[in-house]
Amino acid sequence: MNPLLQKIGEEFGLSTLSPEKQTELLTRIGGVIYQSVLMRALDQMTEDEQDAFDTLLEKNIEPEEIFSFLKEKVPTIETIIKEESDAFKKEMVDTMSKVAEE
Amino acid sequence: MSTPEEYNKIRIKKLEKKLEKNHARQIKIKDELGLSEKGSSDAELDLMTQEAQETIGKIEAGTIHTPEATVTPEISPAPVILSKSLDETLDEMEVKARASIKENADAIADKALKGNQEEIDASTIRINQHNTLKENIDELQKIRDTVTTSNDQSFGDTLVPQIDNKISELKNLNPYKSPEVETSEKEARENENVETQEDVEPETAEDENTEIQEQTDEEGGEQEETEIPFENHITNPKADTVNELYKSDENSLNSTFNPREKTIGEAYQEGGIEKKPEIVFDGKYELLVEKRTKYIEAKNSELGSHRETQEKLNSIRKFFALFSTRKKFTESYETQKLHNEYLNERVAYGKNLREAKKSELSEKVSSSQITQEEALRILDQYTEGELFEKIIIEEQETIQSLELKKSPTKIKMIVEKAMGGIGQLKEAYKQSTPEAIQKILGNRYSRTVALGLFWSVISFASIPSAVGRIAGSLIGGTGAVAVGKGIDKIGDSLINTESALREKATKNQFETEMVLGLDGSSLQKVIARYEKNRKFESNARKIKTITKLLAQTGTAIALGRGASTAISDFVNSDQFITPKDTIFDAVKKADLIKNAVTQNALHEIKTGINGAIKNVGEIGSKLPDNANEVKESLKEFFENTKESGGEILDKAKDKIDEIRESLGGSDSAQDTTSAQTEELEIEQGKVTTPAEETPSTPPTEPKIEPSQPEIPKEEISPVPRTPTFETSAVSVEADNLGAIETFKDLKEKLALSYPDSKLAPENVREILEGDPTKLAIKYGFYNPSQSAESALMQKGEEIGIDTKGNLYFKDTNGTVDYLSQEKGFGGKMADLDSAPKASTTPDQNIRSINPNDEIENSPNTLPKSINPSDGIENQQNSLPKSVDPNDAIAPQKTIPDTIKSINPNDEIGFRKNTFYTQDPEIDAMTPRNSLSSSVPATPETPTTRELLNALDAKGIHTLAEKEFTKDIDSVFQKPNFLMGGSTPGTQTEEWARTLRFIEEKKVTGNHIFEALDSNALQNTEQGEFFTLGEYVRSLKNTTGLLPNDGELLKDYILRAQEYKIEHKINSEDMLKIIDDAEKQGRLNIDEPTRNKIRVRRNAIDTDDVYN
Repeated sequence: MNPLLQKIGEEFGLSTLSPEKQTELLTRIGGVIYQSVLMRALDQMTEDEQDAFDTLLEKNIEPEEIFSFLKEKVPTIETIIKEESDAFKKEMVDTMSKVAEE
Repeated sequence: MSTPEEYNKIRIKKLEKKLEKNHARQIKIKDELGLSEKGSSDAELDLMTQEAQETIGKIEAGTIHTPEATVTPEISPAPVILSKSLDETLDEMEVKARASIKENADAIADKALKGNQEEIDASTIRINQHNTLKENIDELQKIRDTVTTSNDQSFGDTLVPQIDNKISELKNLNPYKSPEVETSEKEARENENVETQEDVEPETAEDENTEIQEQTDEEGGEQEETEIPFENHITNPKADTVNELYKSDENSLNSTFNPREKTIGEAYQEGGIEKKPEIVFDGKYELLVEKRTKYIEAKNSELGSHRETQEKLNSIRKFFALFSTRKKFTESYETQKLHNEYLNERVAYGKNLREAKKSELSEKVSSSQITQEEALRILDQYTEGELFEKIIIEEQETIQSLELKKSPTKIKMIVEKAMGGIGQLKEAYKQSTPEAIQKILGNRYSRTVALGLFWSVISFASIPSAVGRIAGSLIGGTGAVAVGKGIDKIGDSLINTESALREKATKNQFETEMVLGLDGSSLQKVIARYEKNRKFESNARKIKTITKLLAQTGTAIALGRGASTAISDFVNSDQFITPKDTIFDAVKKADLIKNAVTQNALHEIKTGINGAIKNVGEIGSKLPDNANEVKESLKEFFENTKESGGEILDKAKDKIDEIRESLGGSDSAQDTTSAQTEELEIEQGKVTTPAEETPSTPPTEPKIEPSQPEIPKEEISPVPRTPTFETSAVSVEADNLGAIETFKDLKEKLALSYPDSKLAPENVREILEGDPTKLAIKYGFYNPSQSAESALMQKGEEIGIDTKGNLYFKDTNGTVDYLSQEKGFGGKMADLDSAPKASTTPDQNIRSINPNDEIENSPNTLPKSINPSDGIENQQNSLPKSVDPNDAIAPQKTIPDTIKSINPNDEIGFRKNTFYTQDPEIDAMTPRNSLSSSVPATPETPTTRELLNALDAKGIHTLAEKEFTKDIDSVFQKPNFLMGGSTPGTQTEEWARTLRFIEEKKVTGNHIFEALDSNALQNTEQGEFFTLGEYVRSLKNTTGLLPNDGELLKDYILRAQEYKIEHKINSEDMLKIIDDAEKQGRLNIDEPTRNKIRVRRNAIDTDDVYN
């Protein structure tokens, strides 16, 4: 398992799981954050920009290129990413800590 | 009065008609009730018809007389018989009809009880009954009206009461009673209840009821009105009012034919949805689903409205050519409440699941299947795995799915496309098929997945805590660049956040004003505010550039010091930019880090190597046999350093030490040469390095010249110092206005690096906070007490602060002279009061000359105004040199007598194409206080006037260039972080880049307007195109001019500026100048143009914004 993912897994308290399961859950967490960011980013774009982004997705491009596009069109993308990541993390911590309360 | 025969005929006709109507009515009711088969009512009807016909026959036969014939005793019984028979017949008809309807309705109602559909049928029937009976009642009412108006007493006595009774009966047949009846009944029921509550004696109550019953009997038929219709007992026994009952039926029908979406709870109750296994937990899952649905429905609804509103606002913004962004969606209080309820339910559900698991494990422990420890471990695994997945990830995915479902189609499609990879990967994980996972990871969608993770990591890494350390320590060498990028992004993020906050505040205000309504002037003010905001953006870009340097240096230090350690240090150090930092904090820290890395690591390497080379040069005479070899060796090191960064630093140090050791020790060599070198330097007037200072090469890239002349040892740092994180190297070229102005320039440049002077190193702070004149005095550039009071400074010389915070002066030969109060400027001084004054006094014969004229083509005998940028450098020995009280002119650059006149106001010296063919590295537009000030101010020479005296095409063109530059100075202001705000009058490197771009790409005026029309202009790394576009737009709005086909943008700008001058559409100063020109008859302006100008001038006077 990628050591970085492993550390993030620890951050999320997934260390008791198998590496495969951790990878799966982290992938899905990434997906959740990604979708939240996308939804907000798309709301910030004009119709033309949305079309351009759609076209971009069709191409075989690197994540950084997608990121560059979004950064160009949505200047606050970093803030959005951070807000969505933080929101997810906070909600997760709040819920899980309450659930595990004896 | 009619005869008995005629009367009888009339009666017969009426009876027939009535029979016919009754018959038709019966059939209609039957049809509506769907009673096709013949029932008792039909037989009765037939019988009645027969009886009526017999009566008619008797009347025709004369055996029955008319009522009027009662005066004749022998026929008087007949009318009685007739009347009784008719009454009975009608009465029976209605009674039977009612019974028949009721009977059939009962049957249908009974049937309706059996099921939902039947209930609907019953509702339908009741409504139909209601409508049909209403029609019948209306018909009867009409008959009654006819009878009443006939003035026939016998009808009035007999038929009218009968009709009334029937109307009353029909009303009672109506399943929906009139409001009046309803009210009275309700009151009666309430009275009854009250009486019951008051414990009325049963007997008394019974007696009273009996009395009431008897009384109502006596009143005839009224008792029927108090009956509760049977239908009420079937469907709505508790319905109190007509409307409620009617609405109930109507709702029932509507829900059948237009059903609303059932809640999950209702659906479960109806058994329409298969319950999930989790339902075993006391229904908590149902509640969770219901709360989730309520929350997401509310959110989607609000989000939809939000999108719609933002779309409208954006069209307004677009109309005003303002940037188009949207407000962040925020849930309302009510929706937040629903969200919290959902989250609480999620916790409750999670707790239930966990408790169930605990119980299960407890049982196993009790039955000794597992130990207590094992149970705890399994519980932890369950919580972190299955439970986490279920209540966090699955729930979040469900929420997103529901949200996406209600999103606009295009967004939905794009997101689905973008998320396709993750969906597939999730499925593959579920199926635990490594091949499938691998396949997905191999396709393009894996990039999407990677991006999701990438963002998460970047985001978490932006917190300078544990996760930041993870990024630094684990990514390793190749990750250094990525982290560098991450740092860059954080810098951007800071800027964007701050900028977004400002934007938000401005936009909120804008929107408020839009709502309140705008007049023309306030609109201008709103737009002016936006202009200011854009200028802020421009400044923010500068900061961004600095933070990008940070990213680059992050990479550099990683190479030099080891990736993981270095990055970890940076990410976690106090110097690292944190999300809490303001832009200014960020700049400050960025500069510190930049200095720490670039100036003290990479630059130090270069400096060290360069020093070593010089050292080699210095000691070369002592070691003639191996000096060249050493130099070559070091050159090689330097070249490698340029390519590979700072990695070579340590090796370079070692190499230098080796050389020193081979020379017999550096210390002694340095010590022995020091005094000699200093003496020599003083003699030559070149180097005056203080003995106590540790010299260092300024931060210009060193040139390696093996054949370089011998250099005093004191110039060189014998041993490259350990990098200290103190300051950044900043230098400025000697200002032609003299040392005081040069210190001003240095101060401004340092202010860029040190927004807060208090945080700057001591030496830097002295410059930042000091008075330029006093600084010039302190460091020996200006000594007012002497006759030769001013330092002679030449073009190409520099004053700067090196990486250690030392102030230095560098001459044109590259010789560095470190300055202190004790040992200041050691160059030539001059008496400005005597030497150059003659050259500044205009010859009486001088005429004004266009600064664009080429000097070399002009006969020397013809005095000219000279553009300081024209050929100064190449002809400095023959052309006039700037003169200023603070400046001095080197003796060898004496101005020839033949060329004297100088245009002091020719601030720009702006030749055709000059503005877009600038040096890319430095302040390309040549700031006013540099180029402009290269021409001394001589108040005696009214150059602008002179220009106006010759206000020909060239003059106008020159003025246009001046105006253009002035505009640009205003639009692209130089930020002044020390003072806050901006310093007008200095173009920025962004502007130079922008102009270079439009020059290289041959951008035409039409290009820019097309881009403007499509809102495609943005400020990017390649140039400030958005700002440029807005500027060009303002030009077009001001002048009304459009670019010609193929006209280059720069030409269009100048043409528009010329137009402004010719039409007096210009700044206040220019207007005044041209006013004077007009008064003197040098310009002719027609009346319409004058009026137009007047309007524009008023606009400028009031709010400084062109219309």
